[in-house]
This record gives sequence, C-alpha cells and structure tokens, in this order.
Amino acid sequence: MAPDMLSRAEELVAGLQAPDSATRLQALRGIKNCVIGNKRQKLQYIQLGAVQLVVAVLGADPAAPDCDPAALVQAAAALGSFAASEEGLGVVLAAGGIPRLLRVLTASADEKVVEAAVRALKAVCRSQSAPTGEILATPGVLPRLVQLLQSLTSNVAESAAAVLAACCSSDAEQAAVAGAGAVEPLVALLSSPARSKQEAALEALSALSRGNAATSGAVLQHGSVVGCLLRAIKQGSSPHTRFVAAVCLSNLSRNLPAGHSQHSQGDLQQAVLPVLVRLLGEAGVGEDVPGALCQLVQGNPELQQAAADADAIAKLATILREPERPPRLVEGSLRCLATLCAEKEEHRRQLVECKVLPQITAALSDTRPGTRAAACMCMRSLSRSTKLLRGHLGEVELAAPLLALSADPDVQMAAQAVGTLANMAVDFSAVKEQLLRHEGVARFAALADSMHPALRLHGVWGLSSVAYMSTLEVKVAIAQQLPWSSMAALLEDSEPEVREKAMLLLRNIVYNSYADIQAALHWSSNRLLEAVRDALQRSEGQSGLKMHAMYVVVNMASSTAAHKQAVMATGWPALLLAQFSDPDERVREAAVWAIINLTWSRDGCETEEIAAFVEQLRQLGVEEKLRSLEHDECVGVKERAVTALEHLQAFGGLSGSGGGEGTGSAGPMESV
Amino acid sequence: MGRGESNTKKRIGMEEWQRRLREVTVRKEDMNRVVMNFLVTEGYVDAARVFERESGTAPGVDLDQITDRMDIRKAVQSGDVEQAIERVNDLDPEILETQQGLFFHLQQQRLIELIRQGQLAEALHFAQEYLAPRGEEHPELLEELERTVALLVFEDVKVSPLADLMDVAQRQKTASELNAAILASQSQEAEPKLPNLLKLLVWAQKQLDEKAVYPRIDNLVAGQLVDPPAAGGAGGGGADD
Repeated sequence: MAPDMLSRAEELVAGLQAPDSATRLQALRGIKNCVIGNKRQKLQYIQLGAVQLVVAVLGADPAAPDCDPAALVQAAAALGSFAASEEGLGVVLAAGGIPRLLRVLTASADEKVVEAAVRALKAVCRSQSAPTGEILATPGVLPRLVQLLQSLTSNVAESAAAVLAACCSSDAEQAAVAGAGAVEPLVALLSSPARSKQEAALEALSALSRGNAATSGAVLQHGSVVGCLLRAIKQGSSPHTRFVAAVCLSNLSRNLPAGHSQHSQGDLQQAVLPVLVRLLGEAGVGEDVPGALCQLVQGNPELQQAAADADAIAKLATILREPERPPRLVEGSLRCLATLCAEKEEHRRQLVECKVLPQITAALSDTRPGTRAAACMCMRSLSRSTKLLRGHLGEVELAAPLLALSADPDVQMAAQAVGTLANMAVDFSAVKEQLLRHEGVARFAALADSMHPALRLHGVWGLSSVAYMSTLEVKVAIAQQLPWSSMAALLEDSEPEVREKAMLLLRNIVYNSYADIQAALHWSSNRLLEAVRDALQRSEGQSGLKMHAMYVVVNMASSTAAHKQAVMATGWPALLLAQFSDPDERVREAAVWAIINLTWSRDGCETEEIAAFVEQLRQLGVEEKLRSLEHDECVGVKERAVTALEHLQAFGGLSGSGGGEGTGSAGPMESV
Repeated sequence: MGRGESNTKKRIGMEEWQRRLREVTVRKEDMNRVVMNFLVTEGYVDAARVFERESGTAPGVDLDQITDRMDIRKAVQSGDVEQAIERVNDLDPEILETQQGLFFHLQQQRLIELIRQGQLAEALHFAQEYLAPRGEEHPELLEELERTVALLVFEDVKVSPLADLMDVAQRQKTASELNAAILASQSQEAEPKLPNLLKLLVWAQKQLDEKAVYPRIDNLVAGQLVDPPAAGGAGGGGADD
C-alpha cells in the first residue's frame, strides 16, 4: 500500500472531525467518491473508523436550524456505499447507522436529503441481512416510504419501492406494507411512462403478493392490475420488465379468488407460461427465470406438459451447456428440469436427447450445496426411467458422486442422493455395476443404521434394490455389511415405512435357489422365520409389509422339504390361513401362494414329507377356507385357491401334479 | 418476370402526392414530442427550455439533470475523469456502485489521461492502487486491464500497438458509455427517436422506388419533395437509386 495514499485517506478521515463545516463537507464528499464502486477502498476506510464518524454526522437533528443539509446528503450517500458491501453493512449496523438514517428519512424536509436517505436505504436493503424488521417497526418510516412512492424527484419513487419490496419477507411484513397503503401508489406506478418506475413497482407488487392470499387479494382489488400485468408480460419494454410482470402475475394467479369476474387462475397461468419459456431462450437470460418457471409448473401436470411442448427442456439444457453461467441460473435450470422430468417418460427422453447428462453429472459435485441438491433432484427424476437405467445413465459416472452426496451432513441432501441411488440399484440398471464397484452396499448398510429415519429408510430401500434379482455373491455381501441383529432391529423400527422396506429386503434376499435361502437362514442363525412372523403380527393395517412377509414364506416354501418343514414348524400355517380373510387381495393371494408351494412337490420328490404337511394343513381346516376363496372377488385369488385345492386333492388321491412357482421377489422400484 | 421495369412503374405526380400527404394527419403534439425527445436526449437544454415555452411540450424529465449529464459528458471528453466521477456520484451513487464494467472504463480512462499528461509516477501508482484490485474482484476485466497497464511500458504510446487507447475516440467511447448509463438510470433511451424515423423514411423510399415513380425527399436536411423526372419513352428511365 502506498504511503501517500494512506495518508490521504487518513487526512480525509481526520477531516470528518474538523471544527469547520466546509472541511467536514469536503472530507465527506471525498470519502464518498473514494468508496463508491470500490471494495478495497471501502475496507480501507472501514479500518480507519470512517463509518462511525459518518454515522455521527447523520446523528444531527435534521430539523435543527444549524443542520447542514449538504452534509446529510453526503453522509447518507457514503453510508449507502459502505452498506453496499457485506462487511460494510455489518459495520454500519454495529455503529447504529440504521436508526439514524431512518430518522433523517422521516424527519428531514429537504428534498435532496430525503432523496439521499432513501437511496442509501435501498443500498442497505440489497443485502439479505438488511434489518427489515427494524425498518418496518420504526415509527413513521412506512408512511414516509409510501408517500415517497408518489415522488416525482429523480428515482426516489423507485428507491422507495425497492425498499418496500425488500421488506416483504414474511406474512407479517407483507401485511404491514399493504396495511400502510402501499398498494394503491404501486399500482399507479405500473402506468408510469418511466420503465424503471414500472419495474420497481412490479418488483414490489410481486414481493408483496408472494405466497400471501390476503395481500394478493388487496392487490387484485385494483381492477386494472391484471390487465396492466397482462400487457406488461407481452409488451414490456425490456426482458426484465416482462419477467417481473410474469412473476407478479404468477403470484397473484395462485391466490385469485374463485369468483374473479374476468380471469381464471388457469387462464393467467397459461398466459404467463409461454412468456417465461420464451425468456429462457433469450441471450443473457435473467438468472431467476428458470426458478420462476419451476415454481409455476410445480404440481401442475398440465402446465408441465405445456412447458415441454413449448420446448422448455431443450432451452434449459442449452443453459446448462453454456460455459459461464451464474450459479442461480444453473440451480434453477436443474430444479426446473427435475420438476419437468419427475413424471413423464417422454420429458426424460427429451432431456437425455439434449445430451447434457455429463453437465448434470458434473453438477452433482459442484462446490455449491444448492447446485448439488438440484442436480441430484434432476438425476432422481431421470432414475425413475427403467429405459434410461438400462441405457444412457450407465454412460456417465454417477455412483461415486451420488455416494459422496449420501454422506452429506445435510440430511435432506443425503436422503435425496440415497433415494436416487436406490432407484439406480435395481437389477437391470447399468449403474448397478458402478455402485457395487464403489462399495455402495457398505454405504447403504451404514445408512440403514443411521439415527435419522429418512436416511434409514433410503438405506434399507437401497439394499432391497441391490438385492433384487441379484446373485448370491451380492446377497452375501449385504449380509456381511448388515449383521442380522441390525436386520432384526429394522424389522422392529419405529417407522412403519422402514419396517416395510426391511421386509422387502428380506423378501428379495430369500429368493431364487436353495443356496440363497440356505445362506439367509445361516445369516439369521435360523431365526429368520420367527422374526418375520413376529413382524407380521405387529403390522396391523400395513398391507405392504404383510405382503412382503407372505412372499418371504412363499419363497421359502418353494424350496426343499427341509425349508418347507421350517415354515411348518414356526407357527406359520395357522397364520397363513388367518390371512385368507385379509382385506387386501394381494395379501390373500400371497397367503394362498404359500399354501400352493407348501403342498407342491418338485419333480415328484419328497412326497412323503409333503403328504405330512398336507395332513397338518387339513387338520387346520385349510380346505373349507380355500373353498370360501373360490368365490373371492379377486380373480387372482380365485384361481390360486382352485390350484391349491387341486394340490390338496392330488395328495388325497396320491398323485403329485406340477404346481406353480411362487413369484419370488418384487420390483423395488419407487412408485413415485 | 424480372423486377419491375420503369415503364411498368406506377407514376405519381406532385399534385396527387401532396393531396395524399394531406390526407395523413400527424398530430402536432406527436411531432413536438419527437422534437423534444431529440433535444432532451442529445442534451440541448436551452433549446429544450425555449421549445417547452413556445410549444407547451413537456420535456418529461428534469432539465437540470440534462445539464448535469452534459457537463459529465464534457468532463470525460476533455479528460477530466475525476470530475466526471464526482458529478455522477452526486447525480446517482447507484450507477457506479453497481456497474463495475463502466466504473472500470472510467478508471481506465483516468490512467490514460495521467499518461497523456506525462504523470508517469502518479499513473503507476494509480494503476497499482485502483486498477489492479479490479482484476482480482472481476476476472472478466483482466484482459482489458492488462492491456491498459501495458501502456506504462511504452516510451511513446502513440506509435505502440495500444495507440487506440490514447486516441480521442477512446474518450468518446468512455463518454458515450457513461452517458448511456445515466440515461438508462433515468429510464431514457440512449438514442433519440428522430434518427430512427429518418432511417425508416429512407428505407421506405427505397422500397417504394421499386414500384413507383413519385416525388422523393432526396435532401433530408431541406426536407423538400423533388418532382419525379418526366416520363421517358418505353424502356427509358432506369431506376433512380
């Protein structure tokens, strides 16, 4: 740092305390001109204690006769410039600058002073950490700001509108601003010939109506508003004007009273949608456009379709392909794509055809948490497509970044990542290979042990996907990572959803061959069937869990006589018969499947043992109960019951006919 | 068929043209507004004041601000960048606070002026203290920054590859950028409407030349309609552009 410059800065700071007002004024002006637009200079003057001295100047009573308005103007401008940086704002707040600035704003009668004060307040309000509560609570400030909305002096009205827009961060703040009468002058500004006044009013009305039915209602009471906005979204002189008008209209449409005389919510949203989509394609697209589109189409399949029809997916993909993009733009685009691709296979296909999978994958490892989360949402939407899992998703390296995200300290982020991985872990997925290579099983197993229910759920879910139709080798790996004690604990988990996915995991493990089942029994030290039985008896009203439990038995009963015997010996026969009257047809059908398999002899072997099982079942009254199912309302149940009865009769007449094989494991795909 | 030949062109005489012109009514207020728009945007404050008084046309902006804007432009054009920065900050501190590219160009111009005045020590110091940190904060300005600082290397910049920076045109460029930013901050267009209207007139005449012979305006300053050339024989009289 050059010594002479430092001394100039020191000189100016000293000048702030000079006895004569001319020197003080010159010093204020000098400092202001040094710090405007210059971060380094701001820091230098902050270190020299200039902020406190400037705040002291603002402490003068603006109504006192000896008060110099020129000094107040310069001090307010300097304060505004310091507050335009985060460090500076912190010092301004600590030095008590805001109450003094607010006093100058409300108490001064000098037009130039008020202009400088409201501009400085606008600079303060550009920051997220602006003390909006304090601004609104200070007596006289709100009425003053509302009054300034009608000012014709330079950009005073715009500045007042910008401050009010920043002071709308909660329902209470919005109510206070609307209650102070801001709506009417803001609506009047919409018809101003000056573009900056229109834009400032649009921003303020948009902030005022965001997610707030009461204030939206207050805005909509002005009959001209909707017409004004509809005109602005089409004819607004700049893209930004059109954008802010679109956001405002979109906010208002959400809270349009049902009986609104001229417009329906659907009409307005249909009008906004093409405007936002078109803005996506413009050079230098505003960084909030994709986010606004995402918000508009969220939860509305019709609008999602309309957006896709208007080529929104390709436009968003183009944004992702550009080399230098503001982070908010990227995050919004990814979120919007996640929403558009959440349901429709057609939309996912469109996105993949835009060839941006590498970009989305790269965003999974972005330094910004928001971008990572948005990329993950996007991948989750894509992972719902079996087609993409079989093909394109295997072409990019997904497992490693997603596994890294699954360890994110932010639980929601981690859950999102594990959920995506769980979708990708299914048998036919091209990503499954990657996942196994990167020790995905160990990661899922660790998550299944998490204290957090959402992570436990997704961890178990992931394991059940991995186990689905997998080789014995993979199942052994699962058993190694997840001790039986943990498995048993998951079957007794406090969360019903976790219990259900745990049962699904077991169902998928106890599937296929004798060796698989033998390994599972060994894993549980032969306690598996009891554990499933106990879980079933605790799961009143949980059809999903019941069904999975039934299929564990179905799979077990499809094996050798020894495995059938294990089922017969653990109290299952009576339990199976009790499920014949379950209200859920899937449970009834599974229960009958179990009977079919218990009474079925593979290749006519082990008929002696099976005859004994048939006899035991007969004693429990299985035939009468199956007969009652011959008239079941569900065709599947009816047919299974007929087959089961045939089996029983075959053993009565000593002839073993071929039976059905249990439909072993169930698809673990997420349904939504 | 080929393009319209002159003998197939429609011919419109002066009398009929004048009659048709009279049928189009242009509101006097609209004409006045175009004139006022020109005076205001180009910064002819005194003329705007007189025109306002004589025609009753509202300037739509604070005429004092125009004086400020013109003074600021003049300051840059005469090389007094510091003065220009101070005046802009008085007018609206937000302009240079938020428009980093513009602010950089003003500081670049200031360095250029210091070099022009031969104050090399001061220039070096200014570059280190004010320009160099810009590059850290705004990597997109880095290339331009390096080019500017390189001015200090040449003994005679006027014969260096960077001579363009020392040119008066560079001052004009900076002055125009600043002028446009001030206009935008006041919600005004950077260009007056009148030149565009004239361009439109020239374009429309060109289109019409293909189809008709009519009284044209050849001299835009005089605004006089010129009689079409007398009808030639068949095949005579080519297109007159």
